Parts: sequence; structure tokens; C-alpha cells
Amino acid sequence: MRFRIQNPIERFFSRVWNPVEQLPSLEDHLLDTTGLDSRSPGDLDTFIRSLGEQLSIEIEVITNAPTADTDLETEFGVSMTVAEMLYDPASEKAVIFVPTHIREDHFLFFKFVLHEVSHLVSGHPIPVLDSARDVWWPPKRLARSTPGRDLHHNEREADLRAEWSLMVALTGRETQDAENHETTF
Amino acid sequence: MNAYQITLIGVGLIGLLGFFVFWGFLTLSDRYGTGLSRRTREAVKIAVLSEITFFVCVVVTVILQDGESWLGEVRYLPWIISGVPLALIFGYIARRQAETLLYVAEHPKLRIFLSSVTYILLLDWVLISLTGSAFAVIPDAMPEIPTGSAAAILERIPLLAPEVICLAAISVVFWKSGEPRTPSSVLRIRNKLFSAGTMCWLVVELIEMSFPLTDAFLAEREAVFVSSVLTLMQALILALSIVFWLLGFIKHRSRTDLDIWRERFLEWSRLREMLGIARAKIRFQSNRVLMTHEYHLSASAKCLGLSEDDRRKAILTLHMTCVLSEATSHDLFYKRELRVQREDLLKCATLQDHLRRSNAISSSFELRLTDGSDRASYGLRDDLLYEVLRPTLWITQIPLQTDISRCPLWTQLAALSAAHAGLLAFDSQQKIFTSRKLHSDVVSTYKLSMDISSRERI
Repeated sequence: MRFRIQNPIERFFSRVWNPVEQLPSLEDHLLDTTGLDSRSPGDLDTFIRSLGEQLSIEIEVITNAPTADTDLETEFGVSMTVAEMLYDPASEKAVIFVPTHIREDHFLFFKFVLHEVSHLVSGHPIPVLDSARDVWWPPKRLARSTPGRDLHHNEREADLRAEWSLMVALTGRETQDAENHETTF
Repeated sequence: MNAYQITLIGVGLIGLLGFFVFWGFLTLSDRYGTGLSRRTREAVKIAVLSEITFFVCVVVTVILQDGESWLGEVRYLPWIISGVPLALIFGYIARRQAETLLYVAEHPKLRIFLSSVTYILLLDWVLISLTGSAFAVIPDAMPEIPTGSAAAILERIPLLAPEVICLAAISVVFWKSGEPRTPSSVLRIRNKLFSAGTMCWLVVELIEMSFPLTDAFLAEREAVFVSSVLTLMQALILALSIVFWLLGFIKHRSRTDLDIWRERFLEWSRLREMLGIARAKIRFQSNRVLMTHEYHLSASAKCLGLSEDDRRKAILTLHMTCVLSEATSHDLFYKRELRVQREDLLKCATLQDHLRRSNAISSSFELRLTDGSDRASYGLRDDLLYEVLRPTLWITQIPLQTDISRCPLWTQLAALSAAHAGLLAFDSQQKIFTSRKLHSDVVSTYKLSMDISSRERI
């Protein structure tokens, strides 16, 4: 486990303080990511670049070439992991690694890139490249809520944000904007 | 039969009717989408099923026990003995419920708690039945059990505890479905209201369980007073429960088209992700037969002059057929916690149909990302996996009813390849091999590819 485990007392107080798991709703997500993708919702290049600019970090998406790194490809293939984001301290950038077998399916590719990017939006700790234990906490985040250390909660939050981003990207922000649907919200 | 028994049977039947209405609501809502996930709905249905079983048990118990405590009564020996298999059946259903709840709750501690309670309950039933049998064999050993003693409380536990657990499970399920993962705020409020309604019902049952305590620990006069207060509280909480449920139904009716659209989108997205991952991961299941036939299929598609898209669709169909095959689906579930069923493919295709037709998504919206020098793009209208979902269902149906020869060449090729790879049921395989209607070029090219390959090996 790469993340520092909360001690039982800390965990107890965190549960008492926050008994129901708080996940962002679509409305929360739209508010958090205001200004990121208003011009062209489907263009993830712009989305990722503007996110990087706001967080002052470079984000790079890497996929395996079909013939190269077959060991790594197999490692990803046999494991439960689908894609992974690591922080490279040497180049000071976040690297999102998507194996080729996932890259082939464009839906999965986008979903998991958005999932990993969502960790940055929420300010979740990111594992450091070539280190089994260290994590890097992004100095800035877009989400209003404070990031937690619970790995499962973070994954669920990133998953949900990825789904909201996908929905917004495929339909346009205007369709989902809360202001246009006062009666619904 | 005395008045008490008639009342109990009446209550049981009303409860049964209520649960059928509840079941009907869930089934009806499935058609239009409830905002609950498939697993959640399964969990609730199993909970309801176990609840109905419980009511049937209560009614049968009341009819058979004839107003007396069944413990130690020789003439009820067959009932006591039959209680053991009944307890086992109930325990099994309750265990299934606890297991299914895992998917909903995603909370291991809750699962452990529910499993433990179920096992304790099962043990409780077995012990009561065995003790009863022992008393029945030695009638003199049967003690006099006064009403209102601890034994009376214990007697209520096996009857009401399953109901308490079921209600708690349903309440948790609705509470979890009230979280932001459910797309619309209307549905979130509705689920929270349903959860509150069920919780009130749960409190009513807990009060019912505690009634004998008043007789056991209080003087007669005080006990009468406390009992009447508790009855009043029960009535009030029950009324509150009905109010919550009614408000929930009112909220349910106020969903907008956008709410329905959003929940369909989320459900489609999760199904599409699951199917995509299952397809991508099967290559790493050390399935040599699949790899071999993927190679033959690819070679045959090239010989037949199929377009690149058709070749890829044929390969995807072969992969999806493999995902649905018994051995692979077992591996996917136990090694990767992916449970893919035929219904998932159909549901995903149907939801994607709805989304493709909807006005919210125009053709101009698609995802684009430059990855190195490659540019990836995804649009709902050019999703190859979507296009192979229905052909996969045609090929894998048992018995094979679709006339494969009327399908496009790539589907015929995929069906033939799946049959050679042993991914289809035996009857379907035989039907495909012996079918004279399959395009002759498809059969001959595939055979040629296999022959060349086997010669190369020699």
C-alpha cells in the first residue's frame, strides 16, 4: 500500500465527523471544473492542458507501442490495474500510463485518462515513480472538498468525476449546466 | 383458531401483499430506470424474496402451532423437525442477500456483520428446532414457560430478527442509492425518503421485539402502561413511515426527461466500461485457443477482402463470445470480479441506442486526444464494440435461432471461428459446421487458413 494508513483513533474521529461518504454530485463537479472546458468540451487536449496550467504541473499521457515493453503490458494485463498515474520527480510531471490493450478501445482510453486526471482535480495523493512507498500531494487542486487518504474513497471519487466529465464532454456543458435546469435541481 | 392467530395471519397476509406491491414497483421501475444500479435492484429483490419466505414461515408456524408454544409439544414433532431444512433454506437466502449487499455497500465490515448475523440466526433456528425435538422425545424434561419470561423474548427473536435484518438491508440499499453516484437530485431525494420510510418500519419491528420485555421486567400495572405507550409509538412511527413512502412516490413521479437521460448515461457508461475491460483482459487469461483462432480469423478476413473495420468487428465478436463462455466468465468473476452476463450486452446496446437517438448528443460532440503522434477519438456513433454486441448475442443464444447465413460476412466469419474455438454450445457448433447456407468463401478461407497453419507446424 503506497498510502499512509490512518491510525485507528484518527479513523474513528474521521468516521464520527463524516459518517456518510461524501462524493461529488454532477453539480459539484461542474462548479469545481468551471473554466476548464467551456470552449470545446470534447477536446481533452485542451482540457488536460488547461488543468495542468491551473495546477502548475505538466501532465503527459503515455501508451505502450504494440511491440515495446511487452513485460509491462503483460503485467498490466494480468493485474486488476487498468491504467495508472505516477509522479515523476525528475521531470516534475504527472505521467498517465495507459497500456495498449486499453488504448485500443477508445472509450476505455478516454474513461481511464479522465479517471486519472480526476485524481488531480480532487488533489488526491499520487504514487511517485520508482518508489514503492512515497506519494506526492499536488500543491493545488480544483475540488472544494479536502482530499482524503482513503484509497478506496479516492478511487470512487475519481470514477464518479470521470463519468461526469465523460457526460459533459459528450453532450456539451450547456446541456448539463445547473443554471439551465432550475426546476430539476 | 383463536383471535390472536387470525390477527397474525391477517398481518402476515397484509405484509405479503405490501411486499408484492413493493416488488411490483421495483420491477416496473426497472423498465424506466430507477437510478438504482442493477446490483442494487438484485439486492433489494433478494431481500424482498427472503422477506416473503419469512412471512410464509410465520403463517405456516401460526397455523401449525395452534396457539401454544411449539417447544416440547409431541404432536408438533414433524413441524419441529421440518424447521431444520426450513432454517437452512432461509439461511441460504439470507446469506445470498448478505453477499449481494456487498456490491451495494462496498463496505467489507458491513458484509462481515451481515454474514455473522445470518450465521448466528441460522444456528439459532437449528438450536431451537433441536431443543424442541429433545423436549418432544422426553416430555417430562419440558419446563413450564410462563408468558413474559426470557423464553418468550427468545421465541420472538427467530421470528422477527430476519425481518429486522431485511429491513435494515433495504434501508442501507436505499441510503447508498441516495448518494451522489445516482445522477439526479430528484432520485437521490426519493431514495433517501424510501430509506427513511424503511428505517421507521424497522423501528416498529424493534418495538415489537421488545414487547415481552415489559412483562418480564416490569410490574403488571407499569407493564400495561409501558405497553400502551409503545403501541402508540408504533402507530405514530408507522404513520411516519407511510408519509415518507408517499413523499418518495411523489418525488419519483416528478422526474424530468433530463433525469432519465442522465441515469441512462451513467448506467450505459458503467456497463460499457465493464464489457470493455472484460474484452481487453481475456487475452491475458493464457487462452491459446483464442489467440490461434484470432489469427485464423484475421488471416481469413484479409483473404476475403473485408474492410479494416469489418475485420476488427469480427475479432471483437470472437472476443465477446469468449467473454460469455462458461470457463472465461468463471475466471473473470473469480480473478477480476467482473461478472458479465448476456443481459449486460443487451442492456448496454439498448442504452446506447437511446443515447445515440437522443437530441442531447449531436454528431459534433466526440472526444479527442492527441497521444504522442496518434490522435484518438471516440463518438457514440462510431463505437465498434457497440456494433458487435447484438451479433454476439445472436451467435451465443441457446439454441441457435438466428440464421447466421443472412448476417454480414464478418459475423459469419466470427461465428465460424467461435465454433472452431469451442466457445459455443455443442448444438450451436454442430449447426454452424453442418450449415450449408454459410457463405462458401467464408468456410473455405477459414479452412485454408487452419490447414496452412497446421502444415507449418508439421
